[in-house]
Amino acid sequence: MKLNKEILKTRPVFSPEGRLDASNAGLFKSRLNEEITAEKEIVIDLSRLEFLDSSGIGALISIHRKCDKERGGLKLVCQHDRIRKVLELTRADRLFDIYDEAEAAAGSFLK
Amino acid sequence: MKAIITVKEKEIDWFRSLFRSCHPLLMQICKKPFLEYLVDFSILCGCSEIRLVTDIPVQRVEDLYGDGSRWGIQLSYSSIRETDGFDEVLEKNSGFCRNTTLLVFEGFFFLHYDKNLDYSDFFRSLPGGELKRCSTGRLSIVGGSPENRSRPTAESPLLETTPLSSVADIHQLSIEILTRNPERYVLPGYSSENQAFIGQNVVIARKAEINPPVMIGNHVQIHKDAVIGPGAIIGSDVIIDSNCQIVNSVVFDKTYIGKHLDLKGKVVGENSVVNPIDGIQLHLEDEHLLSQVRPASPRVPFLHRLVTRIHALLAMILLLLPFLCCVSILKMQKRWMPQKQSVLINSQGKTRKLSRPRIAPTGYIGKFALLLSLDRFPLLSAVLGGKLSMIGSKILEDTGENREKIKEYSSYRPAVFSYAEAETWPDENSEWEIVERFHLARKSIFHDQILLIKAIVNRIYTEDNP
Repeated sequence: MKLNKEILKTRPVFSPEGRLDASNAGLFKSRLNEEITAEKEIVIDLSRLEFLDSSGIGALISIHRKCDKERGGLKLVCQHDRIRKVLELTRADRLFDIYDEAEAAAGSFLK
Repeated sequence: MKAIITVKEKEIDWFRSLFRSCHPLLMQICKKPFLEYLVDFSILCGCSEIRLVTDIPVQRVEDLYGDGSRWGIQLSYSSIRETDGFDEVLEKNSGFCRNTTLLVFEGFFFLHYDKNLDYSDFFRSLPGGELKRCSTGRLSIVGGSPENRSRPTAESPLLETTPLSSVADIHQLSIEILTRNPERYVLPGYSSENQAFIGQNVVIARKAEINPPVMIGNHVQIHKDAVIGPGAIIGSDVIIDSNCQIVNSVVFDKTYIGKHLDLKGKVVGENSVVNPIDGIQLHLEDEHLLSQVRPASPRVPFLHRLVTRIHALLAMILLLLPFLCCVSILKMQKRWMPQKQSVLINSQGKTRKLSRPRIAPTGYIGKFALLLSLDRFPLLSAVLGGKLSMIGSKILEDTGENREKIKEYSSYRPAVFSYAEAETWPDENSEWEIVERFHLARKSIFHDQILLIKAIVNRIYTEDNP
């Protein structure tokens, strides 16, 4: 899995590419947890993700918890039905703020 | 022009508490799902893309309507949280809302319109803002052209709202549409005479009496001497037994109405009769009088069940000797805490008493017993009896809260080991449900074998076994 980072509206936007599953969820989580110590408000753009499994959702929940603990915030961006359906099926969508555009997600921290 | 339909779970709670098996967005008004009225109206307004934004699971809606190609439009779906307001809804869907005029339906309400009128000119002439409001929702325009502010709006065609906040509203609305203005909407069913809509595969006994206005769904059986109508709306897959009388009433899909039952001015669904006037709901326990016609529930394939039982049997054979030795020692050390619990064994709320002992994780024997998961040994007999699986959902105790929880959790399949244990998910805040739902949707023999091994191994390596 490739993890891209860009800055939008002064907030970091991370875009994992490929699969987020048991094989790399731990690495993804630790990488993002490191970032949270510097930036408390982050956006994860799932639009380039091809596959998300329960370990991937677990990693997202763990990052979400850490952001909450640090009094920051996590926003997700999801444009594809495939990933949205996984989040909905597991009811994980109730935990996250999900946007259809990274810019709007990053901008929401400014309000 | 695009449309956003936003409905929140809290707005439809009253409906869910009455009719659990019916998805609120697919709730029928005159045999036509609620959502389809909104879609039809949006199309009349010239919308080519519609987004359903809700915190209610929409899988059933998505399975039925897909991408909206049946209407020649693009239908998409998006999740929001319960606390999101109007601005958050627009912000979370900013990609969809950009550079267009939006028609926004907010809440759970019915919009009266006329399919014979053209609404597109009217809506194009509007400058934006709230258009119609009722106690349970509103219709508004977002991003209307600013030039329209100075221009006079086109003459307003028929547009009225009715709040949907009780069974009385559904009843009144359904009967009103059927008796007064069915021609305004595209309604399902064949109509050979005025005010009589009959679906496909309807069998009416020769001695049955049909008095229009009536609307009868698909695959309905009406037995002899039954009197249907005036003012009867019968859903699909309904059986009406002999000598029944259904007048001024709404019968939901998949209902069996037993012999000699008279329904006047009622709403009937599942095994309940609701009086719309006072909202009193009567649950009938006698399934020969009133019951839900249930499709056969999907069964776990035979091979899968066989493999599960073989695993349980093997585990019993292998662990019997260690179990007998360890338990007798642990009992003497008072580290074996027997516990009988009434637990829920399926999503219909069926219960069974199971022995779920606890072992104190101290001492060599206690740790060894936990290492071998001997605390789960008494559950293996329930697997052999087909009541539990080897791996699946966490076993829920029979409490009011859990009974409510499984009503929303149709795939609940309690097991000796849970998927959450296989994935070492935290047993808090109901987050274990997330991993369970994920794996239950993908269950297969191979998939379950791997997760069973993971769950057993995880228990071995968990420092303080539960």
